Amino acid sequence: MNWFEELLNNRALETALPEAIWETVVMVGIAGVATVVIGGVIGVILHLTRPGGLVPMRTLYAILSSIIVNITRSIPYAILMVALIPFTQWLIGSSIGPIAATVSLTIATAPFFARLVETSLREVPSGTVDAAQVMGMSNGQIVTKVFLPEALPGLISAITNTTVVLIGYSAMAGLIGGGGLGRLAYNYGYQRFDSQVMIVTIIVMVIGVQLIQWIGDKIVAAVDHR
Amino acid sequence: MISVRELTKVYRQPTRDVVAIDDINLDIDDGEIHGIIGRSGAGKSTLVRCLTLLDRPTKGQVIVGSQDLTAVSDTKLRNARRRIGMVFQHANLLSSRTVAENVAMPLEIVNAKKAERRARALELLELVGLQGLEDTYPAQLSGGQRQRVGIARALAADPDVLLCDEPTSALDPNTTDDILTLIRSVADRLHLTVVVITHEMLVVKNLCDSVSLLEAGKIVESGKLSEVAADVNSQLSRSLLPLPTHQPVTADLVIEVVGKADAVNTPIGSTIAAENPVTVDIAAANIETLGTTRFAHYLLGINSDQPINLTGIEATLARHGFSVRVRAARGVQA
Repeated sequence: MNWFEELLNNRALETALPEAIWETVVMVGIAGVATVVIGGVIGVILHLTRPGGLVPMRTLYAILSSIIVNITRSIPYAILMVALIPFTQWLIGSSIGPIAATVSLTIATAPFFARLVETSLREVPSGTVDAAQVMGMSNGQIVTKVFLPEALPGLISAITNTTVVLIGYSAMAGLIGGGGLGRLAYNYGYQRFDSQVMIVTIIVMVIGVQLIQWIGDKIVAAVDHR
Repeated sequence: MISVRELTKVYRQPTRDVVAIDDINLDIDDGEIHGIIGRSGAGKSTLVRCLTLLDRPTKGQVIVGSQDLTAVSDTKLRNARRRIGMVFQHANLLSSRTVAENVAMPLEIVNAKKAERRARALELLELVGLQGLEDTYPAQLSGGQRQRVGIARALAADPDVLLCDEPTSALDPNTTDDILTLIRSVADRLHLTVVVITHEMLVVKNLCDSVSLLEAGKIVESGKLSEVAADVNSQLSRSLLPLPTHQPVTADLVIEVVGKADAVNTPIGSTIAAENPVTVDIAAANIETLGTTRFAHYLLGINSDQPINLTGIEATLARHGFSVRVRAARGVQA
């Protein structure tokens, strides 16, 4: 019982944990929205411009696919976040804090999300696109009325996966000044050997990820009519 | 209503050019149901894609009404396409929308009001016999029901032309009959010009007024169903009126004849024998009705103890309205 009493009276947990959770939520929230918007647009463009796509554009596709998406994805996040410090400084005016961390987080996850979007869109049967074209739909209408609604279950799964990846990355970002649960676990759990903080942080993260996955699966089930 | 002129599609490949359809000419009248039949690889799919301009033809014109679809801009093409309703082999419905929303899709493009779209969808669903299913999703329907939704959707924008690409190839025989009956009845009721692309002769038999045979990218035979079927020398006639399995025929003269309408009632053996000194065996026969016309297709073995006068037999048959094809002639007078 002693260990639990100690846990309940742990000052670090009492004051630092809620703040850390909030910082993580801010980082994942802002970076998540930015990733979905930027990565989503890139994903749609990738799908439209690929060879055999609705509006094939070889050069644009090559640039987006190999240079932006593949190169960014091949740099480990631990290196990317450090390398981007000057860029973040220039963009935000600071390289410390959860808001600054969202820059490198977005740059790291948007290409990943773009690939997931491209894969989901590829699952939409080409026959439905033929049908839409024969009806007289414009390419813009085909994207908003056919591709996105038909791929919605896949897109939601992609958002769920990306959010989980973001939570992992955000913990790493905590180490170089991003704050959040990553920094809490590092400062207290690693540097002060406070195993209670470490355990609680892990539990919070596991619960958070489970919750996101559960919500994501529920939404997929609700929108999936296939 | 539909004129196709010198339509050619060449797929350029690194090593060689593939001519998928080759100089196709076709005229389909207002209100006519025209079948285009061919085996897989004959160019059917390419032809459909070129007729709707899903693929740009390499050469030639597709004229619907008075508009040449190959000559208009992309924006105008989108408008022109609204005059064509298309039915696909696998219906190609959107799984994310209810049945009614699928049917109303062509109306969304022209910004029809929501209530108006719903009313039109319900009206069309009743026309195709799916009342009560408007709020279900396509995944909950059977293949035949999905195809009915596809037909309703094709009709939503009030097209003049209905283009059906293998509409029954994924369906069982009973459902096939139902769908063909449905296409026939909506075509009659709405006075549509219909083009049906298929590999099934049954579809042509049960649905079409006229037919074209597509082989290796070319139309090799074309005409009114009643005329091509009556010509024993046409390939289409042999597929439309197939003979049952039979023993090999050994006779001095072996001929195939096809007659239609009143000719079907002619007692074929005695008619030939009455005017020529021969005996006639019917080795195989097929009598059936296509559309409203009855047809008879006979395989005849003809023997005689003297040289046979083929010209005389042909004259007799021609007088009774039969077309003749000689299969084997051993005992025929030179």
